[in-house]
Amino acid sequence: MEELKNIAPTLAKRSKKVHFDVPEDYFELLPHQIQERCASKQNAKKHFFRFNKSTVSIFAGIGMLMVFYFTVPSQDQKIQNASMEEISLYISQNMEEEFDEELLLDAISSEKLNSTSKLEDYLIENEIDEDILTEELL
Amino acid sequence: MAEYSDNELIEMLHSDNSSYGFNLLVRKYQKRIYNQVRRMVVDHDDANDVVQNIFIKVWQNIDKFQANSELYTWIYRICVNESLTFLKRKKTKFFLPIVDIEKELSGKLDGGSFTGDEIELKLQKALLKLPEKQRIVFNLRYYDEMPYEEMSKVLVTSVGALKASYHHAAKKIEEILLHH
Repeated sequence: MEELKNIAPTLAKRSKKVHFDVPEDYFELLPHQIQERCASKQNAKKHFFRFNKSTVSIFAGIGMLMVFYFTVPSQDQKIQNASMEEISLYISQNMEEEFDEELLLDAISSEKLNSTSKLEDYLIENEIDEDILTEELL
Repeated sequence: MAEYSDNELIEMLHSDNSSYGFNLLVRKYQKRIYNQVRRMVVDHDDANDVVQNIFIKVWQNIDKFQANSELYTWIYRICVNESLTFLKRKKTKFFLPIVDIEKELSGKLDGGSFTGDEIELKLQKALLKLPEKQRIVFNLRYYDEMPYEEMSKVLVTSVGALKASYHHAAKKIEEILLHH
């Protein structure tokens, strides 16, 4: 090569023959191996999309249910989040008989309400017997 | 088997005969691509993996191939990228600094799969001392005799920079061959 004769004369004289050992029939088999891999990648893609459609639908459904469960307030949460005024109004509107504290306390302990603090506050504020309340809640 | 021109291959690849066209494309380029890769990664099994990945990428992206560039320029570009990616992953995988990679590849040359004489072995080891991109420039110019204008499209580098890179590489290797 003219280009190398001046800058690298030793290199310019070298043969450019390939000196790496290659397995026999490697180049005969390579095109076939590559085409097989291309075909299997193509099939894998198809299966992935086919599988994925039904899987995505299922997971989307589960995801929506989970979102609904965690975002839409439950009846219990509505009660827990209710203000004292709302609780008071509810009781006065829905209790036909005279309000029985013990009945209420039984209800609290049997239903195992997670948060009774607002209810307790209500009972205390309305001068309901603290001793009964304490005994039942401890 | 008659060799088809790149334009004929492109036409076949975009037709119902694409599989046959791809087979012909692989047969046309496999040796050149393999030798380029083998000089970079040395080990045959590694070269085989990289070569297969190159042609699979060609197959997967043939629809995106723009006829405004030459087919072989495009294939060589994929070849360069895949070779560099392979070497980069090798370094990252084993947390090896650059010098160790050179030692590892040099060791593989001593492993028995290289059939050249002592000077040829010295030349291949000298090549491994070059920075990877400079090694690619040298391989494309020295072994494949690729014109600088074509190399410029493959490596997206100016002709001037490529000439400078090649001349520096040649001088370094000459120095190693003469004095080491």
